[in-house]
Amino acid sequence: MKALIEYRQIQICAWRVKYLIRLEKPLETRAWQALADSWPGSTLQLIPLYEGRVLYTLGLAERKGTLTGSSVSPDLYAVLVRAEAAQLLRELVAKLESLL
Amino acid sequence: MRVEVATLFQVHSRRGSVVLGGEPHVVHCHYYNHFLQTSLEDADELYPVEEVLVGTAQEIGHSLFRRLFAELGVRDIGQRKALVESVYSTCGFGKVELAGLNSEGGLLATPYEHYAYTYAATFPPRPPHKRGVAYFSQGYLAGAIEAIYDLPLGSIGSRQIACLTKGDPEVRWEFFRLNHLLPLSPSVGEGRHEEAELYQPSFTRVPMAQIRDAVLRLPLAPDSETGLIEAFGVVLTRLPGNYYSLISERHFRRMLEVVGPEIAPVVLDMLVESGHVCAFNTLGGVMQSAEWDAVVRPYLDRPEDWIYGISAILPALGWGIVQISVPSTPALWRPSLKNWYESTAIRALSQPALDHSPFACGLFSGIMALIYAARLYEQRVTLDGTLYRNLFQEGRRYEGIFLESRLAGGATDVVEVKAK
Repeated sequence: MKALIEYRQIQICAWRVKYLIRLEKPLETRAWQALADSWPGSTLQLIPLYEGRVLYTLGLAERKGTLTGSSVSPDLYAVLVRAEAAQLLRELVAKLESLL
Repeated sequence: MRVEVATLFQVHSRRGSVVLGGEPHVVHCHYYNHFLQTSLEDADELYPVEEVLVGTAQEIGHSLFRRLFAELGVRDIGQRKALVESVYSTCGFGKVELAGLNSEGGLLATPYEHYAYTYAATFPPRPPHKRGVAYFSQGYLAGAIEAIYDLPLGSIGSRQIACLTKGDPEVRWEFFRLNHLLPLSPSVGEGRHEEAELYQPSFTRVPMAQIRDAVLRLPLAPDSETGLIEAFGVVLTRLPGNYYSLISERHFRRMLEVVGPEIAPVVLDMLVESGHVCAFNTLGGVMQSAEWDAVVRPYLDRPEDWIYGISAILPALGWGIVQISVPSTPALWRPSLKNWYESTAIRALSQPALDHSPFACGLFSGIMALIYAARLYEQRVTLDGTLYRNLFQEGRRYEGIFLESRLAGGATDVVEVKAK
């Protein structure tokens, strides 16, 4: 079974495009950290929720977008700057595939 | 004195409200903001809509900052300006620097203002004969300037003289002292508010209060450079709810005065439509987000649970409390609303023209359409114009009416949403 199941556009908003990226299982903290380390200038924010759940937000450099996900869902959401969305999505998916 | 504005918001769980400077603040997205404002603008040939859009914001800005300065004991002009700048960006309105203003007014310019920035990024340029779109900021800042210098409400006039939506590189306003007072009234503040506990229905395991509290703790922080809040795939503001409520009420009244009672269904339908726009973009964005997946989705066993889950979020947006005591079905939902922000604000006015909240009718029927007609509970959808037209314009799937309304003398607000 593939670790990355699908990705597709789910919303266009002003200067952003929102994509759904479906994985086989939730990304763990160390994978999020590895993703942040592989993307120069990005910042990773971990927001603790109740019952030990964690919300992850990876902010890309130069406000090019964010990738959010959680410890309980295999779905990720990439909100990317519209003008470069296709290229950024390709990079993001490639990095995710290399991590999985 | 440096104040972290985000810590100044007071959460009133029993009111479903989030208050700053005596003003309930509500979260909305740029789609809703533009739809409502543009709908009012369309009436500009019938009456001067700027009086409503700018004047209402000025009343609120003045009341809010007078109260906030008093609460915090801020008397120094520089500190007052810093506080206004900080509130402005914390609420997602953009970035302003007030250093160049004095008690006579002055010029203010910014490349980042919510309405202008998001409009310019979304829609074609405005025609030359139309003014810029930053009405709210214009009035809000005029009121803030009055409060900063302890001037009476209505003593500062204002004009927007440049806008991103017209090809200018920045938004620019001019503020000036008037030799007369504008006919403005202090804000209604928390209005005729009411209180209730968020009801936990026995027929679902969706933990209503737990979800509300988790959402309240989520950071809705502005970008440090732009002062704009991006979340859930849209651009959000924490705007004083009285602004939306009062511009809706005042627009409806003006239209009745200018055109006559036959215009009522047209204006009401536009306000219903604003609820659809909000449900589709803001709540649709929320229901397809990592936050939703983490906080709400683990409890969603049946399609109806999506209704309860999104209802639990609304108090955290400051909109009031949605009580669900009877299970909803795909054909019928009958939520009871406590301290619904629109009713609470308008009820504080004497003899309001609106006798219910048309926004609520559109919002709750929009939620039903998204969940049942778009089948959000079993698939991810693309929130685009095609789906919007399918759900709301090519024959509406749901219709909401008020069975009981606080604005019509009822004890509470009860909406009935039915499949058409």
